[in-house]
Amino acid sequence: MATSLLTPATSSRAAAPARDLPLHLTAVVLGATSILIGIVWDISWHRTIGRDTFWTPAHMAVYFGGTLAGLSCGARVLWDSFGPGAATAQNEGVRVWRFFTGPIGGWICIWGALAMLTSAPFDDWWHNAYGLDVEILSPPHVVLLIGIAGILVGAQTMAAAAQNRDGSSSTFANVFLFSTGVLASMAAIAITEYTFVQRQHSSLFYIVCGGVFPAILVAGAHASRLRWPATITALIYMLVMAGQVWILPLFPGSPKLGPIGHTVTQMVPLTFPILLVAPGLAIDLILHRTANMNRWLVSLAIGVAFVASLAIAQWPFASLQATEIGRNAFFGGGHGDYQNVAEWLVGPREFWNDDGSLGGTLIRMATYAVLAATLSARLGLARGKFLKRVVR
Amino acid sequence: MKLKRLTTLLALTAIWLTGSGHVGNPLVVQEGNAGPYGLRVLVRPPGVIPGLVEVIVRSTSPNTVPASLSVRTAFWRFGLKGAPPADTMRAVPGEAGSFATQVWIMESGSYAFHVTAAGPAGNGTFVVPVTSVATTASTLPPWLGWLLAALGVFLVLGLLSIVGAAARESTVAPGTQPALPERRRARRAMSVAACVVAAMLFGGWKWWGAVDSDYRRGLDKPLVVESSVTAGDARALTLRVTDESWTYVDPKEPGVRKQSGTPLIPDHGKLLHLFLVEAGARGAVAHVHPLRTDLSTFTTPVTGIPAGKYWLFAEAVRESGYTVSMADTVDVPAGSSAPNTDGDDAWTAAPALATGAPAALADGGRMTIAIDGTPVVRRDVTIRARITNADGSAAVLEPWLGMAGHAMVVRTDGQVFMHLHPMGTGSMAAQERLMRREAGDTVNHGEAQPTMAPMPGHDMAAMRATSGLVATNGNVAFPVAFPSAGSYRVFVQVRRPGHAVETAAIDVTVPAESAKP
Repeated sequence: MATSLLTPATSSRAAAPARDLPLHLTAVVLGATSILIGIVWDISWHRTIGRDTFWTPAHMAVYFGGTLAGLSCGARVLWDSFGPGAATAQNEGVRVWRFFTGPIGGWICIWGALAMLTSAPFDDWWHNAYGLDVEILSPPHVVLLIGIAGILVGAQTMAAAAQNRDGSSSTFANVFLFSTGVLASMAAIAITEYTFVQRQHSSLFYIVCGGVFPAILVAGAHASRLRWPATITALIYMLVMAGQVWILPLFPGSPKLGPIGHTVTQMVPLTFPILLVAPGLAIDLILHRTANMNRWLVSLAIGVAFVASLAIAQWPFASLQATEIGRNAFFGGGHGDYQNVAEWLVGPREFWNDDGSLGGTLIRMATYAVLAATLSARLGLARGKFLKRVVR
Repeated sequence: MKLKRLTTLLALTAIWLTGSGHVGNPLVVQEGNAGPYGLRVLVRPPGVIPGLVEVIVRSTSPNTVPASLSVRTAFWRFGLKGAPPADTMRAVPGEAGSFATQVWIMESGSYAFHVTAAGPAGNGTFVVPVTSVATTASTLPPWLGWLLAALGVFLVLGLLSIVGAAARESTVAPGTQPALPERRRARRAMSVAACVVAAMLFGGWKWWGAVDSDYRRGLDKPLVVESSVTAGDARALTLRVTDESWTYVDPKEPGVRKQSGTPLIPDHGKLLHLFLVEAGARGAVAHVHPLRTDLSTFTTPVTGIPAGKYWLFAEAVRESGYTVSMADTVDVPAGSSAPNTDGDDAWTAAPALATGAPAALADGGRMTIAIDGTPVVRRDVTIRARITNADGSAAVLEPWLGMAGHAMVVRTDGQVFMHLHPMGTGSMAAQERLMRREAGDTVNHGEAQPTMAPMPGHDMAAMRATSGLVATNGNVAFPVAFPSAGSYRVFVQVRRPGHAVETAAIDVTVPAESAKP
């Protein structure tokens, strides 16, 4: 299954040689992965231990990723601009501010690293002014997340350019999809507060997912040379997030901040992934059949299919996870932040619904969520078109 | 006229935007015993929550200094069971017997800081009540504002350049130059990107503004009250708590207003301690204890102080140990009244004297107030009073409101007010409550715990014995820390057997210097 999924759609199996990754592409993909691991680790750290310093290993993984991507691309730009092969390189890169040349993905990575740097003094002041924030989304964290997104998007763009320049390479095609999967995972983490199991029977969950995921899945799928790219991207996200649910609790950890609501002895993971593979499959099937159709119509089809397939898969899956079964080690629903009182972490979970009624939920899903997913898909198609053509 | 009203309003707002428990002073100084060790604990809250609190402990028993000290922060609702592991304190270099550490507080509300001392003489724990509230509204320092603006401009220009470069060159085959259509596409892309960035910056700016105003709304301030004093022979003060947080309507019983939070408990036998300080802290002061007539109303006779404009400060303690404060200004008309019959109210119009100058008391006795050393902002000092009888002998100070003496400290602009006891700034009722809470750990909020169970390491009897109930040597001392520089007036009140409560005052100037541990 995996082999066929990873087989390029536009070239035969025999003509899919593996290529060595260029050093800077290796560096940015490694950096992006390190950031993703660091962010998952850091959130787990805050749910388990609470107290941190600049020097926690989770922070180190994020800084390492940002620094690796930013510096390697910076070095590449300097080399391309002023190195011995600058004359040739200048015809193969893109020029920014007249004197500097480099791959477009590299430029985006550099910008992302600088945005991450900028968020540091802002976040530090924010904590001093308003207290240590215990939420993922605050203005300085959004600057950090935009910076991280820059590095992930830069890595994805660089991988796309490599794939497009060397159409016969399965390595580049796989690296491109891997970088898309990392991007999807990070996006999922950014919207964690809207995707708790308890929210999965409310329209807000579908609106937020609809606004975020199609843009990433469709862009990757449109530009990929593989047959089932959106499905694979969704699977990468699910594997990453399920993996952390299974792996993190294997390590000991206990709170160093209070008040402590229940006894915590293992690292607390993030939530179990949503079944994104269903809308991923739907996106792939639609894209297989709509190559020459009007892009807005394709987007609308994807918008409807995304919300419908996510609802069909996730609604009953959420019902299952809301039962006692969802508390087991496989789904990880028995874990909670150290502040949570023990009673919150046992027994069935109640759904939070701001829609008033099931009818209200369905109407909002059919309107707002579909609209969000359609616009997101349209954005994804536009970015996918760019990713398909980028060569520098 | 309008301008004057606005100025008055701003001045009042300035008075109200102040600290917790004690108006304008978030610092806690508390003395007591941890087993065999005499300790003074200084707590410096950060002003934001969650945040890092500085805790400094000094030994007050030179012959019995603990070898090691640690602090655990127990939030009222969870108690020690939900407290994080203790933070070990380190010795302060150059200050024998002083220890310091930083601990995190994550919630607003009532905390018990359990300070545990250990050494050759044994182990013991001392509980310090800390009311945790956000008090500080920060603004971006100019240098950081410029730095962030510069970085922001650089990032925006960089982003637009990268978007333009991407649209112009990134899809052009290597070795080929971009043509006019690509250049046009780049300009379009940059325009769209500029609009998106502008919208995001605007959205971010609005978001930041919303967070900031939410935060400022949540800052601790004295409860909103309305106070008035009637004139004539039965001059009386009525205080109505109008703050919307004071009561709530239970959805199950519409129309019935109930007290929010945990109930008020008597502190030193009184539900409310109310102070009237002549505006400008010029001398007249009353320390009275209004009776509660309904959920939100307190009344008391007012006598012994001249007519004029007064600053009103009031304090009460909740069952959780949380200290609430109220502040207002009130016009006191001419008149007098029979005082409350319990004899616990006190008033004076005495002018302040220089530090160390003896104030004459009723029968020729004297009270001399002084401060140990030079007061430093945010550092603990001791206010000492020596009271002698007419014959020069040391006065016996009998318990008044459960203490050998009370002190009030008011900054002469009215923005800081503290009510002190020999044990420190904290409320004894809060301390007792927080110790009971651990004894009855099974009750969620600690309500309805009828008796005190003994608690290992927490010696309540010792606490009572050493916390300044009575003084036979004519000396009474108050540990305190001044939160800010400025001019303060310090009032000390004591009661000798056979006398009414007697008050003397001194003026203290706190220089603008940064505090050391």
